[in-house]
Amino acid sequence: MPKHILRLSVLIVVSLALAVSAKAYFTVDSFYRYGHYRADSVPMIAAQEPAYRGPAYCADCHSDRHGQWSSNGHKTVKCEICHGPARTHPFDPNDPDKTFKLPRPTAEDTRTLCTLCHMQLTARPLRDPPQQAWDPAVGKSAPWRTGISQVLPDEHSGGSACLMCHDPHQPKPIRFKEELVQAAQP
Amino acid sequence: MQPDESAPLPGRQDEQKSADRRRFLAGAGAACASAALASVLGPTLALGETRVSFPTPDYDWEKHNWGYGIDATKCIGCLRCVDACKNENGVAKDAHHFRTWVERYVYIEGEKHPRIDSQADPGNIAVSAPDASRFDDRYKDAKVEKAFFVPKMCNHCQEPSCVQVCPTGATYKTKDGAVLVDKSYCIGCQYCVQACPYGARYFNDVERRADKCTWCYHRISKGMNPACVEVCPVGARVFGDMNDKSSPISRFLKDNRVFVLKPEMGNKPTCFYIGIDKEVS
Repeated sequence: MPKHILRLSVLIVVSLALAVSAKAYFTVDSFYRYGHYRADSVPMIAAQEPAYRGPAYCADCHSDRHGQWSSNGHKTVKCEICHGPARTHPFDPNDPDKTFKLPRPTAEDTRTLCTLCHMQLTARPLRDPPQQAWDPAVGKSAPWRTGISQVLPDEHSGGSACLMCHDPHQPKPIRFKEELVQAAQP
Repeated sequence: MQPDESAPLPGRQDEQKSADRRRFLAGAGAACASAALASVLGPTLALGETRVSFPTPDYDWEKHNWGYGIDATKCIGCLRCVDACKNENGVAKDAHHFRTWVERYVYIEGEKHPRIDSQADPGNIAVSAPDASRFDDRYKDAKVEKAFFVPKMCNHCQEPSCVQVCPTGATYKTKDGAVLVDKSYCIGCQYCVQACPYGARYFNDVERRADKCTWCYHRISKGMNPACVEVCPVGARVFGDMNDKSSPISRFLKDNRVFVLKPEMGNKPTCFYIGIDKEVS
């Protein structure tokens, strides 16, 4: 075999071997296991801790509140929507010996939180049939069909906190403004 | 007469040369083929081992085929899904980074096309601080003929463009239907961000990598719903296993006539919509 062919073939074989071994060395074991990606990244993504734990998690300790909440129309509004994600509550994620509390919404917060859903808004589906005012004499308002009851907060409450009349855990009015006004009078 | 083996025949020298060349080429070819075979067979042979549940001991992705449904007629635009998604997945709390978002389509009397804004629109940011956590009521004095909200997110396509264009294999389609991003293999080239016809990907400026909805893969692989589905107070978002005939998504698909966004793109989304209009894309 002529020299230059021999050199060329040695060069080709060496670079082939180099390329193959470099590829084997640099490709992680799991890369082609299921396709053109690193299979080990799937368990890594699946290992993330959930932040939202669901009402059943809350019910372990707050069973009375859970019972009240789950028995009325607000039962689709889950605890963590207003109270924030439970994460590892009541334990501190960094130090299991410590505890941490979830922020407690204030009366002013409730107004921000309630209006996220109940502010009258273009494109927000209205109740069908249109919502009727709560009638204390009859003891009920229009039945729930579709959509959501919406108010203009300033007209509806004149600026007072939603909490004055409504308990978010049981939103049908439990107190009435008139009663409150009377109670406030000397 | 027996041919003399040793006698030089005309052309013999050339033949020998070409035989050498042939032998060399065959050898080189075989070397190449065996190298290629080894690289292909290696991982394939590894599959032959007894298969354990993957990706976690309690969850086997071969047994699931996830699907997502969005009922736009129910959406009230409260944006709790967006908030929950950001809390769950550590998405930046500003008006430019979303794994899921909500758009508002408003058809005003006398106008040819709907006005489309999302919660990230400057007007909405103005009423809700920088995190764009609520819609404003800018149309309250307009003559609105029709209006609705459309939640948007990654469509977890069966033929994902983002996976096709990724140069490093950092994004992929799992066997149970989710499109995920491998953080450590993403080089932040953002080609996928441009390739997605739905604008569902964003660039994580802190980690310098592409980011997107995972259907909360860490939740669904533990038997929970994605965070957005978990918090939706009106049931506008539906999630489940399409292999399971009694799951919410199977009922959603059976009971409704569903649409997908931009079917002409050929991405075959697995997010199904009801109650959207022809203008929604």
